Amino acid sequence: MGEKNVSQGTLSRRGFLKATGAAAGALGLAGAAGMTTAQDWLAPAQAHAEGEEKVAYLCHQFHCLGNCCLKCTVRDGRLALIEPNDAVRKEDQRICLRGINEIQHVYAADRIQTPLKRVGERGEGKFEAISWDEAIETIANAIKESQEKYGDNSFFFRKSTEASSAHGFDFLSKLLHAETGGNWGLDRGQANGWNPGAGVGSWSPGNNSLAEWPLASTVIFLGDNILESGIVWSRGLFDAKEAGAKIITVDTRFSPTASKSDQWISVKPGTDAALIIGMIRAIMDEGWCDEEFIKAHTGYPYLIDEATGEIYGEMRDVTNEKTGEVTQKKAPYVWDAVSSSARLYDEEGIDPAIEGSWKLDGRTLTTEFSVLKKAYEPYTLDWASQITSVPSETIKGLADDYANRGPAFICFGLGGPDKYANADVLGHALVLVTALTGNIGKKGCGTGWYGAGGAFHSTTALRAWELPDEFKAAKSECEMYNMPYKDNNIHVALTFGDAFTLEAADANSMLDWVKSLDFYAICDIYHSSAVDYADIVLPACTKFECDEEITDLRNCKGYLALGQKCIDPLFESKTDLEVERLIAAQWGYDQYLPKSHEEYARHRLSEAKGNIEGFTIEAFKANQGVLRFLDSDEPMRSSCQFTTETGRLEPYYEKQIKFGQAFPVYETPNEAFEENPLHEQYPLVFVQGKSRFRIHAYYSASSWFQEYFGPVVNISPGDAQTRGIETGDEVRISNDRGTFVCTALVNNAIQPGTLFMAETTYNHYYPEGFLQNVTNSYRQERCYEMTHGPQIPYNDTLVEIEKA
Amino acid sequence: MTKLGMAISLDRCIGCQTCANACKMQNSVPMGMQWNRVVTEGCDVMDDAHGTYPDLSRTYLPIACQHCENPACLKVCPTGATYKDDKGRVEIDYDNCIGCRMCMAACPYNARSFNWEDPVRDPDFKYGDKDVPVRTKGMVEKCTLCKERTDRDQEPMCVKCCPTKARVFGDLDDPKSAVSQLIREKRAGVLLEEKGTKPQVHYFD
Repeated sequence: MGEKNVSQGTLSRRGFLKATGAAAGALGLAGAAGMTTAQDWLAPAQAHAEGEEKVAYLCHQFHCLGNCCLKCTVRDGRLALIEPNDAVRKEDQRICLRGINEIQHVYAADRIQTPLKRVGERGEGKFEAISWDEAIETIANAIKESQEKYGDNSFFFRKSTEASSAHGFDFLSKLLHAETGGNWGLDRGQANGWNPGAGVGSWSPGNNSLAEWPLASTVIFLGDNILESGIVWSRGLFDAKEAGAKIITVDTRFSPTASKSDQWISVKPGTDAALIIGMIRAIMDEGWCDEEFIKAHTGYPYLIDEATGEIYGEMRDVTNEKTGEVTQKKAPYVWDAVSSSARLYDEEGIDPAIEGSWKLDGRTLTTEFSVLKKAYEPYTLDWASQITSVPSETIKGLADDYANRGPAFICFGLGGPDKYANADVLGHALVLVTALTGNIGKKGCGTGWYGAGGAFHSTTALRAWELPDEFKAAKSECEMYNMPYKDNNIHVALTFGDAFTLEAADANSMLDWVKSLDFYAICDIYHSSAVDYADIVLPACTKFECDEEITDLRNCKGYLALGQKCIDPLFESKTDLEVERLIAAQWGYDQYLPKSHEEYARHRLSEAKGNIEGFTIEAFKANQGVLRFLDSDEPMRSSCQFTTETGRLEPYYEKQIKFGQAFPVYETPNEAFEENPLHEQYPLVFVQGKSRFRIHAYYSASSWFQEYFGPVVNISPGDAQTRGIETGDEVRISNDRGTFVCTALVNNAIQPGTLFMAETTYNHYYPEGFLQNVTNSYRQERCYEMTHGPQIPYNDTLVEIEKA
Repeated sequence: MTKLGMAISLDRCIGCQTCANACKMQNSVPMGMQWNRVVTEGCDVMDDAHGTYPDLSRTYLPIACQHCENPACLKVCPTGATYKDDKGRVEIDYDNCIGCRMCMAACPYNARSFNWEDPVRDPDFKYGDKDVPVRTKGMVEKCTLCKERTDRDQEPMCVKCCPTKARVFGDLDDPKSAVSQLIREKRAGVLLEEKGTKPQVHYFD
């Protein structure tokens, strides 16, 4: 080992606390008068008391997708110790700081303790405590009144995972025929572009299994900072590295993942699509294509009619094996080199030409590959270099590693490049580069999101809880993130968790719209950013609390886990199941809901077969709450069975000819690019990402984490110097949408011209405003025709920063 | 003899602070104090880097008591409260600690903390291992190598919880132990070797 630079200064605790202390925000309590802190509310500490201990087991957050199976020691009715559950295999035992800090976070001062009624203006945060009965009645009356006046879909309901002990159940939207807010708008930007070419959903996790990373020779993380977003899955990166894989990370920032990679490629924000297009060009120019794969598994040999741009083919009746429904699909022609004639792509014994152009019946027919080659003539390596700021040689080297140092993975995340208006172009370009090199459908390669843990078997044998037929959610007329901008019929809203500031950008527009509603109620665990805008606030309990011995039955990465109660609900909080039951009861609908978590779990297991055969409540209890799927020894792998029209990777998107995106055509981000006139006034790209101290805003209230971390923005030394900003300064970040104040950290890892801030923290921890005040809410029009609709381009945001 | 120690892979350390929080929980470490901390080496800002963008490097460095073979803290302790135990750990007998803080001045790793006031725990009860003794105002405290766990033949909590398995714990006197083999094979080094403290915590790249 070389000399470590461990000066006394580095080891100084004073210095350490100084640096981190600057990040800690002001602690604020829920505004209700006479509220107690968690400390006061709990019985006096009995530090030396020999407590009575019990152990409970549960599965932690699905929200970070860690799904860690935990063993919780409860002493004198209090959560005292959290460790990995040792009933799972050694290699599946996992935990990170987020699971551990629940020791404090569950008891945080920011817990909503009682039902609250607003007494000040909306947004002012003035409340008084009321009874559960009054709160539930007020909510039900508001919904009833609105639905009578304006119709069923005037009620918006959303349950976000942050305030739920379970994952997935939501009875109220169906029982009350609510508007549910349609497409989610998060994490599916690249997927929008990937789906048409490789099959809906094939980007995760079937085509990217973490367990397979060590079999790869090259693993590329494209804007994916797995070492912070998926801490417990970091082992996959190191296992691959130790097995000899070259790890390459593409990121605007020298992220923790970048610093542990063999190579870091610094790219300008929002230009990742140009980098991949440059790779495509290099692979085609250098002849690094996998011709056998291209012929057998891709649409590159399909013929395009030059006059129309459409694929030349024959319409065929296709019968859906499950439904018996008959639809028409186009079967493309290819040019058979053996017979020198156009033949259907799936005929036996043909040898499709990859390149070429032929005249037939007055048409000029050209292979997709040749059309692409021509279309990409302007996309030289120098062009890609200019757009991305990555040197041409580096782009070529990346293409070389990907094409020739295989098998290779391209891992994309759900943040970074996904949060720009051009993310679909990137997803589409990834289909092209994968199809050229054949890095899919075999061991040790794939493209997509690793699905947090990769391809674990799941089960479809859990029985759903059926409601009578008349109970269905309203057909959605408006995406939630679109509600401030698009006419809609919403008058009343109820959210479990803070949907309005976590699942939408440009908070001033969103919260103005929320303020215009007749009524808004929130059920949440903590005093999240949306709470101050609610008329009624309900206290939810955490996953560690329950009013019965059993909590949630959950799929957790190769296992099924049945949660056990650790502690009683704190303060006056209730489980989300109980809150739904109480509201449903106002209509007499509670009869249709499970009476308890246990009844719900027993029902779900009542037809257990396949890989969960024999799984019963009793079996879970006997095995510390976890049972491994019976087929978990069989690894899941990516396959060449693509669920596209022709069952192959299809690089050419006929349906996007009208958008000029039949092949991916590079497009600048919506706002965050240098040529944008707005850039003069707002010259910095505001990039958000994951932090080890958060799952989105969750853990904002942790006093343990507040010792390290709060609302801080990272700025490059050059940009800081120009503006006279130093570490620890309060700074104001602004654009035309809004402004907020937080603390600056001057950080060499930040690309000049950008700012980096971890995803949001509850608004009352900022000296003023919060980060969603500046983020871009642009809706990419063409995405309305894609699987997931327009995605919120959080990072496609320009700002200016100054000392506050 | 037994000489408990540890080897830490700096390549595998991702600076996630899981070990620091696991330690805080296990040992009921009060607010404003950390027995185990992970610094971005040579930087005041977490996740900062050395160099000029984009030519950058970064090392995360986990630091706690190094359980030195030749502990500087032990030599200056006027009451014998700090002692080297039969398993090679540096421990504190809290009953004998008079709060003079000579040990803190002597420790080159700044591994020790002092309870200037009544310690504040959040949440306000003794979380963590039931066997860990509680420290009060006027006492010095630090990493015990999870004495209570290692006495029960369990590995320290930081080792157990590390998400990347960067930490390997064991008996340095046993040449066949995993930790001894790693130190040999990786030519692991120690912090501030020139101080002559002979740490039993080793680091390798």
